[in-house]
Amino acid sequence: MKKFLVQNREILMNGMAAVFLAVSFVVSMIQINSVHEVYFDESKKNLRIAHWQLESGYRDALDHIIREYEKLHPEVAIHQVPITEKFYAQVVNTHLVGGTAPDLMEMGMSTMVSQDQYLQRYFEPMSGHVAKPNPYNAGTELEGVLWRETFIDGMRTAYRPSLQDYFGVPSSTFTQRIFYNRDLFRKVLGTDEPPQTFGQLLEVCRTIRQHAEQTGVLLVPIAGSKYNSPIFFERYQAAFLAGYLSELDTNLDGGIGGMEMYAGLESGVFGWDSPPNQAAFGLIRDLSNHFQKGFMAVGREQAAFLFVQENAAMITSGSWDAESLFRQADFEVGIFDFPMPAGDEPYADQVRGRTSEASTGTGNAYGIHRYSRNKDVAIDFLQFLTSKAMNQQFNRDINWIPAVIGARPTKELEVFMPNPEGYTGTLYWFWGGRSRQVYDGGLTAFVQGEIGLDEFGKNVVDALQDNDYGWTRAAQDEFEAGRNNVRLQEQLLGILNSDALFEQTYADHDRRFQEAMIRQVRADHGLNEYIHRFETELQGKLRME
Amino acid sequence: MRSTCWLTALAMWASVLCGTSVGADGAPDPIREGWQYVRYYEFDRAEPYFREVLETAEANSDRWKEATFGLAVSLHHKRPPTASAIQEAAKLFRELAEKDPNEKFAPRALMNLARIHELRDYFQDVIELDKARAIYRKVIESYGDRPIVDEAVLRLAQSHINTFQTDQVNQGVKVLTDWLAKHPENSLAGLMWVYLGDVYFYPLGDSARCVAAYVEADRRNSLEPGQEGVFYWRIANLADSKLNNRDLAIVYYTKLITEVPSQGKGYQSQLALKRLGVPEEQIPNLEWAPKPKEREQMVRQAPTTQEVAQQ
Repeated sequence: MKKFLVQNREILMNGMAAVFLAVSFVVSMIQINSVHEVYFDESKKNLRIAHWQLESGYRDALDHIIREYEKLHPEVAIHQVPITEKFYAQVVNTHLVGGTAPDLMEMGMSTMVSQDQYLQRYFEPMSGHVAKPNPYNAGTELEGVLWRETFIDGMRTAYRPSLQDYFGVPSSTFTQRIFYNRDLFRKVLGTDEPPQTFGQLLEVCRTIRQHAEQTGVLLVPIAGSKYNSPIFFERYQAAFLAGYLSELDTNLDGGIGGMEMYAGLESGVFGWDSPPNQAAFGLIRDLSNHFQKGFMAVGREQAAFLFVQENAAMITSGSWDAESLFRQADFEVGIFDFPMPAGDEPYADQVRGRTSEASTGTGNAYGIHRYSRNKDVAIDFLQFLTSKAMNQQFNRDINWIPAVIGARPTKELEVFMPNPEGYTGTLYWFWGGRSRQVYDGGLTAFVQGEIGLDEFGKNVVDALQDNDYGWTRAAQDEFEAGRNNVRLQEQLLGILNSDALFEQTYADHDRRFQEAMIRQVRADHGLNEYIHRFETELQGKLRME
Repeated sequence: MRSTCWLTALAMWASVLCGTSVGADGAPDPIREGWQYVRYYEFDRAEPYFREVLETAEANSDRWKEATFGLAVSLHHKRPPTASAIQEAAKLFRELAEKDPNEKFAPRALMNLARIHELRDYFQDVIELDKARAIYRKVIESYGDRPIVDEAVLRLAQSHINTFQTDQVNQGVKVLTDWLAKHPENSLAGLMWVYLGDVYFYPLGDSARCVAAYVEADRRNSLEPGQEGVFYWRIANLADSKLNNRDLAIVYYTKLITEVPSQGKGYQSQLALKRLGVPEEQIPNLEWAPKPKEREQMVRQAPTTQEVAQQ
């Protein structure tokens, strides 16, 4: 036997390989067939819906809505295609180019699913659909209301001014707050009431730190990460620097643009040493002292893990993470808004106020593939998903904030409802890619105590003033983006005017034309104003063409 | 013969299945296909369809003219723009306009030609403002009763204003104000008031005229959709800080709270109203995402510009 095996070793090995290959082939065929049976069941209208939401509860919640829809429409089969954030862009881009993209795709995460030039090519424009009432709102106070007007932001976020159309239908809203461990607060602080002021927040942090030192438990006051911490920084920076709006907003558009910021810096309206700026970064540094060491090298999941493992008493994140934290934590999770310095607390004399959430838009939008074979079903499903009842159900299941007027979140998420009180239009210490890079890197080093405030400031100001890569490059980039926008508007006018002459596709041509003209004329004026301001106010040496 | 029949049948089926346009002979109509791609901004894909029509259509027939116009539009807008494409587009627009000036598309062909002269389309493209202005004037003189004339007036004014030289800017403003005086209800009057407001704001720095122009545009409901908050903020701030027009400032700070609550300036407007001495109970509440009916109610409560003017 042994001799036989040795003599025929090669034949046997080849045979085994052939058998293995055949078995693999058969298994693959079975697998392909089973997938084909599910996704391409020809007795049904199949709809594929791709998204990157792998947070706890999302897929179950969507599945719940899908099953409800399929009960009403037994001829339809809807399949979720969840894809990790990391690969979403690659998968979707490949299928868009190949013409095999899912019928519904979550908007974002990829340039081909977010930039105008691709949206117009691959996605169904929704203006015609959203200008009719959503039939699934019958019997509610939204009955007869145009679909787009049933959203809290009137679908403003989904509207693309340059293309004059809506791409994607939103399903949720997002804001950010601080999560805390109520059990731990009770145990260490004797109360589970959240801090009302920034001074109280620091006091809570100190007490928790002392408790950790005395008991020897692994516990930090706040779980930081490169994902979570910037949320803190941005909130508090805006609270101090929004006051510059009245001095720097020279074009009175309600915000401080890059050029306005730089003009203010050069003319001495503000500087790195200005008291509000020093206070903003002082506060950020104080806060960072209560994150774990090396937090800027930590990712989102690790920080969340630290919190749910009770190694951190607090963490900041968006409403999108609420359900994951509720599910994973074995303790009672509380939520509170970012407290501001008050009374005679440090920094209180420089703080302007909280950041307004009035312009919070909607998100988690789904767009329809322009070449979907079941566009009508896709639209109908989105109407179902965003009916008042289903949108409430869906968002309560995930523990997110609904996007539809009148739909309420769960009681525990009420604290995430956007608060319109506060300021908009703050100052940012960067203008263009290079200074942003230096600012972000400097902030990371500063909050971790690697560099001081002065060194951080010097690097930031030097980057802005760099004649090759700083302000001039930023202005050129902005000018280029503005020119592309003007050109895109010109294309839109070309399309509308030709269509009016030969095709008459748009019943509301006059409205579209007026809107496109006003945008084009104003964008063109804005572009010329930009160059003029650059040359007169900044005395630019660079002639932009 | 049999194979030709089969192929024709197959093509018909394919076009039905794909939902494409079908011509009178049953084959997809390339001219409709071309326009469909134009609507999708796919000018490079539209171009061959129009060229295909031009190869077969009788010269100067309606179909030939439409395809010529379609080809010119495709060449004008396809990306990246090239000198040869833009020059061919200009040649086609010129021919169309000159061949039969009474055709419905002749003034549009002229306008498109003027835009080619006025804009920098490709690297080292030369701007020819005089040529563009001459064409705008020609449209104004030749097509006096058509709405496109209002557009030509606006573009003519723009060609002066965009130089940002004071005398030129004033000349552009005069073109617009003269036209508005003669044709106050022209098809683009609202837009002209908005544009005048922008120009008075910058570079002219005439706050009073800027505010008056914007208020007129607002009265006509002509402010840029979705940007109303920016205009309201600018009007309120100019009225408040430059013109000492407290009443107008109150109207527009109030509109920021009631009409555009999601544009982010409601809270700052409340503070401004307090500073201006408006009694607490008359300052509207901040509402995030009010229901459509509530929103309507809030807007009604806010004083209108006409009411303030009457006061």
